[in-house]
Amino acid sequence: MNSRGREAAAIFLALVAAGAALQPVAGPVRVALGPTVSAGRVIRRDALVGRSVSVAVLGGFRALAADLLWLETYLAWAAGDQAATQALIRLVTSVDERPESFWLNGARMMAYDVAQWRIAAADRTGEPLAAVRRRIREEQAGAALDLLAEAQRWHPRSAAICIEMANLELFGRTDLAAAARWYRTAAEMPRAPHCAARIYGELLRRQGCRAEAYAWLRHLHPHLPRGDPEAMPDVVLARIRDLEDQLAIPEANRYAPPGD
Amino acid sequence: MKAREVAIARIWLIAGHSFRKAVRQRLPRLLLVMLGASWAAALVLRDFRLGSSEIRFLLDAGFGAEAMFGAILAVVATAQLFFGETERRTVLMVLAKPVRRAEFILGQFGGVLLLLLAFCGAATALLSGLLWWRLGAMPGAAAGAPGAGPLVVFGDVVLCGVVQWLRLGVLAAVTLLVACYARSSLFAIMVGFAVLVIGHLHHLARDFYELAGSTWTAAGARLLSTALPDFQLFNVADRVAAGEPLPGGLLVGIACYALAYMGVFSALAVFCFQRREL
Repeated sequence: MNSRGREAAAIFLALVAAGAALQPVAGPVRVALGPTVSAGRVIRRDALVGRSVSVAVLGGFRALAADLLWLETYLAWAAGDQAATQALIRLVTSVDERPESFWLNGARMMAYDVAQWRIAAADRTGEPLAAVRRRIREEQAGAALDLLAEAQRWHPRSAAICIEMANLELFGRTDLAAAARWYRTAAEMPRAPHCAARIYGELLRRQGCRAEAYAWLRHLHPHLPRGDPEAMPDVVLARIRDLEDQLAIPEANRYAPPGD
Repeated sequence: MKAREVAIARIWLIAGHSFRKAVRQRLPRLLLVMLGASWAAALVLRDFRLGSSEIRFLLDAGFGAEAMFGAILAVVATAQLFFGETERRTVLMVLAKPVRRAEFILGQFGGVLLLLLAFCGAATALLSGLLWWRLGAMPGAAAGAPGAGPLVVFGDVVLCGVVQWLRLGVLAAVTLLVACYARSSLFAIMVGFAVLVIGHLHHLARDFYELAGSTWTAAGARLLSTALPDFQLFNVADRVAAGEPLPGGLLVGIACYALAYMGVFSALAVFCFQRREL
């Protein structure tokens, strides 16, 4: 090895040593910054549109790139192109994972609109309807749930994403137990809308868990703000009374709302 | 005056000279104009925002443009300053005086750091002014949504500018090292940009080779990612654009990381320049 080669090797070794020595500094910074884009997501993204998007991401123009791609998603959606719509939804959320609206609206498109297009196409081919429709709805709800599971990696404290997952379990898969679990998770998130806790109670009742539903609603009602129409304390109280009748709760043990 | 103080005075003198020389070049002014133009384009395109608020959109575009044009300035200005001195042989006149080679290199690096500080300062001030103007045009926007923080914390925007300067400083130090080793400015510029891209993506390469299950390539990728600085660590702009606070510990960690790398790269640049034939 000549002197320049030795010089280059010495520099490389010094850099490796410096990098290793700086790992204790870099580690906590990496943890504090949160999750980064994984290799799998980048490979999928680059397979779809090439390196231009990665360059845009590196340049920091993610919001602009994602917005323009979202417009393209709308065009594909308006044209009823299911393959392009689904691919673009995944692409937009890969480019900019920060806005919740891309995840939520993308999941709704995949679960409801694409399912409807597929059902219409199946109807035209004359396939047996009920079973096929059910299978398509479940498949699309599953795809949307996968998307939202990915969203949770970036938005772990988002009540809106949990509620959307609950809705997909309820309307897409008609799985009441799974939907109830997601509504409960949403209800426990910060700044969760009041409906999440109320619907959780209602789903418990529909599953036949009346005692649990009653206990939940009794616990919930005193915390509902009186002046907020979205909280619907009167509806919750009516459900409590209804459950008390069904469970034959004695008059002395019935729920007494605060202030009565 | 002690010898160390004299050396610092000489480094400072060379840094000031390099800074003035860099400012007189067209590149910094051109990049500032392009930065302004890209923000004007972001203002025009803000109606296309679909996933975020206008202020977050402008913050994202603003930080993105600052990072991109700042990186061009850090790489090109460092290489131009160094090779301007060596190719025109003015370095020989400087070194004929009682100036050590290490002082010359540290002075050059100091000049580039001053230039980058001026660029980041101007860019951050312009961005803050733009955000201030847009917030003023939106009644009640400065306070933010109920239950959430304000849309823009100007202190965090300034801190983001400081982090950007540290990142560009590391990139300039890398370029200076390559320039001291290389024979042509083009090579130094190309390698500077390559290190920037690799520094942003090497964690992906490491993940990829580990997923692929190839032991040797995974070890190679790990070695490379250890040797090069991780520029992803300077990515605090996303947090600021999302309205999240910047913890003091995070900023101290980033500053330590950047200063340590600047020290390592400039020491290696001095090592190369000591052995270089002029």
